[in-house]
Amino acid sequence: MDINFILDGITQFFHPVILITAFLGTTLGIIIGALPGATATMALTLMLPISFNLDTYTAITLLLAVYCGGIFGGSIPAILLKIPGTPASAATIFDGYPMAKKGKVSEALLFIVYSSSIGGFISGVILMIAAPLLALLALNFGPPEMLALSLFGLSIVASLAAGNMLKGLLMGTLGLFVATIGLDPQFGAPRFTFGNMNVYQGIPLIPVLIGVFSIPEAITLMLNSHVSKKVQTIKKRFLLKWIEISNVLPTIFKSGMIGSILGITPAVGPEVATFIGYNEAKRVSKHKEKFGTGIPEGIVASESANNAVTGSSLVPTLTLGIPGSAAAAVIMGGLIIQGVRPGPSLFNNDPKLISFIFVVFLLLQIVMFIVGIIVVNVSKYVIKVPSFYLGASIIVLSTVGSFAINNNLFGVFVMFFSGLIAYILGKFGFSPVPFILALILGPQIEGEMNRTLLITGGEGFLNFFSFLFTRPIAILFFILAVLTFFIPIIRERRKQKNQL
Amino acid sequence: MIKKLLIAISFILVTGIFVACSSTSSNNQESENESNNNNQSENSSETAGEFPSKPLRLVVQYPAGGGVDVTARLFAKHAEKYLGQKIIVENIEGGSGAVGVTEVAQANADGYTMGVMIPNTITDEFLLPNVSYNAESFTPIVQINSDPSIIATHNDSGIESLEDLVNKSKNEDVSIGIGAVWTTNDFVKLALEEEAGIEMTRVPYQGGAPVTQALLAGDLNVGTQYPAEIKDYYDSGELKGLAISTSKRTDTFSDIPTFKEQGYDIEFNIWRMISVPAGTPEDRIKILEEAFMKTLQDQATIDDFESSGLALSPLNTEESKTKVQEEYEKYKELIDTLGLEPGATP
Repeated sequence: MDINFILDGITQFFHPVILITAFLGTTLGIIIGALPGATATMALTLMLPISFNLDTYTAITLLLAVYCGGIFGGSIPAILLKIPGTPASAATIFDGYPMAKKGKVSEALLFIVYSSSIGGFISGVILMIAAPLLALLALNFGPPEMLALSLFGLSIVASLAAGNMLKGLLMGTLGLFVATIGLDPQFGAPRFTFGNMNVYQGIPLIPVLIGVFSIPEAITLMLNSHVSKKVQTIKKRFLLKWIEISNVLPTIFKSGMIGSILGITPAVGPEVATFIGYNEAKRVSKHKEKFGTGIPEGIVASESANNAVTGSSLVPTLTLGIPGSAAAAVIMGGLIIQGVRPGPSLFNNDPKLISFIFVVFLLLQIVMFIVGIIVVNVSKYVIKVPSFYLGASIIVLSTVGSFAINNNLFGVFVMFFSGLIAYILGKFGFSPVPFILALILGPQIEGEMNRTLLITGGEGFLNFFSFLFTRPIAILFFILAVLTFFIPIIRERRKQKNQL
Repeated sequence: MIKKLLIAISFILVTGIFVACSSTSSNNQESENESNNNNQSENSSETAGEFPSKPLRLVVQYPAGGGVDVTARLFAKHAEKYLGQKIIVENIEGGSGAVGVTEVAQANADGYTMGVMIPNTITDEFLLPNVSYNAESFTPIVQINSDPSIIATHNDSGIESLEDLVNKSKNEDVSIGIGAVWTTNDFVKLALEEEAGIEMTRVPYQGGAPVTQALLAGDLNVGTQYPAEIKDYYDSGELKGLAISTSKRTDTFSDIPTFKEQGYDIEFNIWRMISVPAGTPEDRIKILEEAFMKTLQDQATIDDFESSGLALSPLNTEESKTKVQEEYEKYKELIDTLGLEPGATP
């Protein structure tokens, strides 16, 4: 990477139009991402027509700003309301919401600002230094590797279910079952569709996600409104103390690296990385039992990971023309419309533009930090809203969001239906989280499984295993998956025995 | 408590109305327009001046950022100039594209709702269960472009020609990657198997780019690909083409022979047409056709498409209609010969 191009990029970024675009785009991204049901992908789609009329550099700045802001913004309602604004923030709930409940709303929100920016920055640096090298790594992720990686992601279900193993695994299985609904990916045969073409591509994920998290929370808020009359106090804190952030810095770095590496592999989006980041922090922690009670490590582990994906998912997008996530696909479309064709030739043909993209991505993390601090310091007052009206507003936003995601009323039905089921199951102690993880990964696991079996070039287990030995990366992830799945189960067994 | 409950209910009802309006408002307007249509068809000279008097919708049945979406958005951007009205691109995804196409088929035929017609629009009735539209549900206005399929392979794959591929697949298992089932690429593969009397292992991926990746990594023997998906690697010499599905060789891929040259009567291209629901008044189609043909001949449009890696191949309404008819017969014949149906193992 030529240093002159980088300096050029920095100069260009401080051009007033680009700078203003960066701030506006980030703010807009955060706001849209924060609305339950409006995802980063949706925010990007909304920006596409606007980006047409801008020049290439401004358009890229706008799209990247909205993308980073959108992923970050999703975590705000996760902490304030226990509702992830985007799927990428699902794991932020685990510790973010309990921490806010303990009266530490300001701290919890500030932790996401710090860790998101640092996580994003880490992946930006990696993107800048090693993009072409990483592209080679991405090329090595074929069907067997993706299958192993997806199974590794799914194996986290066991540790999510810890403490309530049977119910957790049951919900995971239910998620896998729901993921089979739709046309099968190999022959297009309808499965459990009952002739409804709205589900041919599967039960739409986002409405389910909104439903299972928002509706039970909204109902609870509205039912308990007469109980919790006392308004929470909010500490006035603008920034975190250095000691607070330095304590969790190792976790932020580690999660940032995990997110960066996962983001490179085509088709592992931030929604999976956030779980893996959280799980890894919990695995190595000396005080595992505190995870889930509202500790900073839990928040930063998931937040740093999902924002690190934003940068590294651009690696396959820019270098190979293979988008690493749904949002990256929209960015790629935006670039193509601008006449920039992502792919290997881009690095040779337009190194100046590539450097600009890297520089903008890095500097945007700083912009995101500034805007983030302001936004969270304003938005934290949401919890002062009487819980009754809050509940009603959540339902309003969820309805609009699940309609808007596909411009289709079917999403609204799915949202309400899954929300009611989640509420009822929640009463019996079933958590929706394993269900969501399985629903996200199910279709991917099936597709990669099909492809792996097809390219092994024959039938039978022997054939499959002999093929597998030519794929060391896949073996590594298969082993990790088995360990991640069984260790929490064994540990729980042992605990039960000791208690007896 | 009751008061609060009432407030909550009214809140939710307001949302309901909000959502309901957003999905049906266009229908209401359209039904008004329809009643206007009846008057106007008697007095068509008036319509010419009035249409279009409000923004138009262009429904894209696939997600934002994909090939169909980029084509539609680029086209809409330039067509606004000649139409004098905004064209709003709306992504209605789901059902392998069927949800968006159904939306267009069921919209009022007043010219204000348009869709993107592709080969799948005419094959869906055979291959997707419970689809309510067919080729006759739409009137094509113009063809924007038409991309061929290329059978591509890695330079080191040991497969030098189509002949090689056919011979190899007679003796051993050959894997062929496609971006999605029942696409033009899939039909090229089916047609080749039928004509050459061979069978290959079809490996469906999620999109064309991963197929390119698998070819580069050596996971697949061959793949059927669209030009944009292999262009970079073709130029660098990593991938090569065995056959292209056009009637003549193309300028961009001049050393890739056509199927016809090599003795196989295979010609399946993915064309993209702007269409309106069948029954749209002729005079409105004429207005749209005129504006769209001008758009497609505009140098600015041509340049923009070129820099995005898309070639234009405009056809007017008459030519598009004829083409759809020919294509329909071609696909129908292959579907009948192979006995394809939803969920059938090809």
